[in-house]
Amino acid sequence: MQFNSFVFIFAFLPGALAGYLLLRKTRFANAFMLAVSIYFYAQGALWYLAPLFFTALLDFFIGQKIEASTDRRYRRSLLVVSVVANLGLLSVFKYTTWLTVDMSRALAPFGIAMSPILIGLPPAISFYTFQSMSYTIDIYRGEFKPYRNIIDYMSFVCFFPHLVAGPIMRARDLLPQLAVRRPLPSAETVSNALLLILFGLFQKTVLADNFGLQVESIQRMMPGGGAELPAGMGLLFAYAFAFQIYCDFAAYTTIARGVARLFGVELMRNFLTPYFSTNPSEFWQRWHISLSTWLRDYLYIPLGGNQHGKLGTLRNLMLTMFLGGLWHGAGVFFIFWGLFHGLLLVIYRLVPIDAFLISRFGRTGRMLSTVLFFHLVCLGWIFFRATPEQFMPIMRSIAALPAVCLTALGAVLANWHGLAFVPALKSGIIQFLDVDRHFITHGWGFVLYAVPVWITDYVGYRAKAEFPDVLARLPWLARAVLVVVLIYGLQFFARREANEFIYFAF
Amino acid sequence: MSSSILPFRSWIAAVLILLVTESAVYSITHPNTYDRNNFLQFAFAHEETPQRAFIYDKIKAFADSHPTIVQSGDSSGFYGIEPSVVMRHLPPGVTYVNMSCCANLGYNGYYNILEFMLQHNPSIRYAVLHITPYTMPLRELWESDGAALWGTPDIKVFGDAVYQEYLGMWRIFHSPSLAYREQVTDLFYYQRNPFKDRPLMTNPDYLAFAQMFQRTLGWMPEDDVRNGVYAVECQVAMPNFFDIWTMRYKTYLQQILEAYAAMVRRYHAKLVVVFQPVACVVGTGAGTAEARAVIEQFKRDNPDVDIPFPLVSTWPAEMFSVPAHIRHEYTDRIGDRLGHAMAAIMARDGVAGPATASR
Repeated sequence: MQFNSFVFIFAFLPGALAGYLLLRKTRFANAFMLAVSIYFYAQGALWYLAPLFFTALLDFFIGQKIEASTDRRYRRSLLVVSVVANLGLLSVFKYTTWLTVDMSRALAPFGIAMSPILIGLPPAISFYTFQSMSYTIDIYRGEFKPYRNIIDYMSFVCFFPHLVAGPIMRARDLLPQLAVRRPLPSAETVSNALLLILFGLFQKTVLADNFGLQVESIQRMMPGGGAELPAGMGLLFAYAFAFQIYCDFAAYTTIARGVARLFGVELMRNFLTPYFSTNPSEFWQRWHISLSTWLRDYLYIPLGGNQHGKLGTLRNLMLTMFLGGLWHGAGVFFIFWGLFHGLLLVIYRLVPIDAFLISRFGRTGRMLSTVLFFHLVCLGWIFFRATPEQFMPIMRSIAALPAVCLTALGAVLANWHGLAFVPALKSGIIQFLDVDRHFITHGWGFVLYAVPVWITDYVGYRAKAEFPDVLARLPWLARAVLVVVLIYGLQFFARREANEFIYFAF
Repeated sequence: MSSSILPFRSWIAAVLILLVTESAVYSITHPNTYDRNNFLQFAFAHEETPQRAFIYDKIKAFADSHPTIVQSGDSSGFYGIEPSVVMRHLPPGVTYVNMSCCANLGYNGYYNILEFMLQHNPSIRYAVLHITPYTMPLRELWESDGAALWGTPDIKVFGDAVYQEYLGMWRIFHSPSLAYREQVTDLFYYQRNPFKDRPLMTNPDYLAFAQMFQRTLGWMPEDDVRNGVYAVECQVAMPNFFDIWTMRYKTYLQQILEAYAAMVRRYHAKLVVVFQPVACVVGTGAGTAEARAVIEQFKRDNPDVDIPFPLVSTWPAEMFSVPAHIRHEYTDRIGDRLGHAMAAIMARDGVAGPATASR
């Protein structure tokens, strides 16, 4: 079930909320939450429940066994079983199709016929396996005591607001909230939760989906993959996808946080104006925070973190980001994307470009390093979104843009006569329009939707928060006007074709 | 004000602003009900699906036209059946509206169009499902909205959108100002016109359609590229599924015919299923025998439904532009064929003219 559907907003959510409020003071509250979460998840297909239950139940019982045992070796072997089972399950569903398809292609020239194994990917498997694994790891480390009540535990794994696309909550943060009888959320909390949901819907359907339409339009210009893109379109592709994936994923978390608050549960923040980062370390503290902290706590630090010299640190960064890339998807380009970010982390550690720019040019330097790093992130998004066949046309299109700009500049300079600069500028613009109308048209479309993102994120950045947090602090009348603007924005500009959240596929 | 109401001041104020705005829009501009929906995209520099636009315009034009007979189905009827030709054979005053569109509307969509017309027009006595045996029921044409038709990603089945936008309960959220979505998006997207690039407006199919469909009661002459049609043995897709209600396998054809018959019956009208002639010939296999058996069984089980023509009526291949479309030169011939059949059905039912009383 999609958050951005009438059924969810006007039927499922009110129904779930009404049932929860009725049963809140009884011991059936979590059983009810579990039931509605299962119903929510099983809307796609019933079989999705099988891997979910397998992971959750296995870790529930392993958690108990680890806690009950004092034998270090036994505890460790139980942990290994949990990790291997979780990663094994994840790998089977996520990578089998990719590996066997690629293998069958690779073997075909040698006359070896191999049928690829095509396995459907249950939504959210990457999220709940990581979440479930952190439960057993925390118990193993002695940082968390297992819960004996299976309903409470299952409602933690399956809690519907964050089940499908996170944030990846740790058991120690979420389970204690779910296992107790929660007070009714205050009127203010409900009002703010509704604001989060409304803003999230706007982010998803108006912003993310329209950026997505641009991305698809540009991809359609390369039907066979090899077709050339007009100059600059590759840059727009990267920009549009950067904003699409940000708005899409942030929207999901924003709605999830709003929905959870209605049930008296606080989910962690997953984004904090990431495109204002000046370096990769800062970026990963602002982007998909629940995943980056998971990778830090359960992978980077156990690998040795920064405790084994410079070279060891760099190796650990690369390895962590490689696995982070692999977590995102089955494909060579996802691995490249992860390695690219690993490389950025390494480069910025060796040569702190942002620190140099800031110390040299102050605020201008900060702005420059933000712009530079944003473009590096965009470069990474090309790996993430483009198919291998589309990659080179996109890069060539980006490389062709300066020449077009220079031609236009040449036209300006050729017609520049003293103070009569207006005709000169006009001729330059006409020249540019003539050469690259596609770029201008799609650029305008991009700017239309990028402006609200820039404004809201800048406001959030200045306030060291996300925009919905700032929204909640506004005077009530200003909030009312913004609510009206958001509702009319949804009505007039939301993309009509149903579009899944991107991270449903991870 | 109570402390529990105070935090909702902004929401209450927003609702009041919305109510005042929408009331003003409604009372001042009287927007067309059939413009108040999300059926078309109106997205930036993005081509509308022409078939969606055909349906949008047809519904807007004929939703309350009070015909006696309404036709829905795939493009065989859209290009094939000219209502004026059919009406030549019918009693005076009987009107026929062609709401057919295209295969990517799907059987779900044909169904929704018929139900919509029946709901809005108690005058309808006959609901005609006009299809070609080349687009027999498949799973993606009945159950799976948004599915890529025939595996082609650009041709998506959109029949469910007809339900959502014209029949479903969520229509209560279609505010009066929604009727002005095209104007509002135009204003933002193409304000000074340099970026105006609505590709649909230059689509020749759509332009031709827009010029004539009101005059022709929904018909449009075929203008396909002639690639040649050859007479081969007919292949009729006949997929099935496991029906958990009856605990046995059932063909989609059977499922769909039963669903249509039940729905049309609810509106006290009569279902007429029409198969367009084809260039292919009946063979021994490839689904035709099974399809014919299903149809015969359905006729026995549903005597109130008329299926005036056999599944496969072979016409010369040169009469077709593509397998599913009769050439426009032969529109009269196919219209006469249906006109005669409808006249016979009406005579048998004792219907001498349009219904005067509502159902």
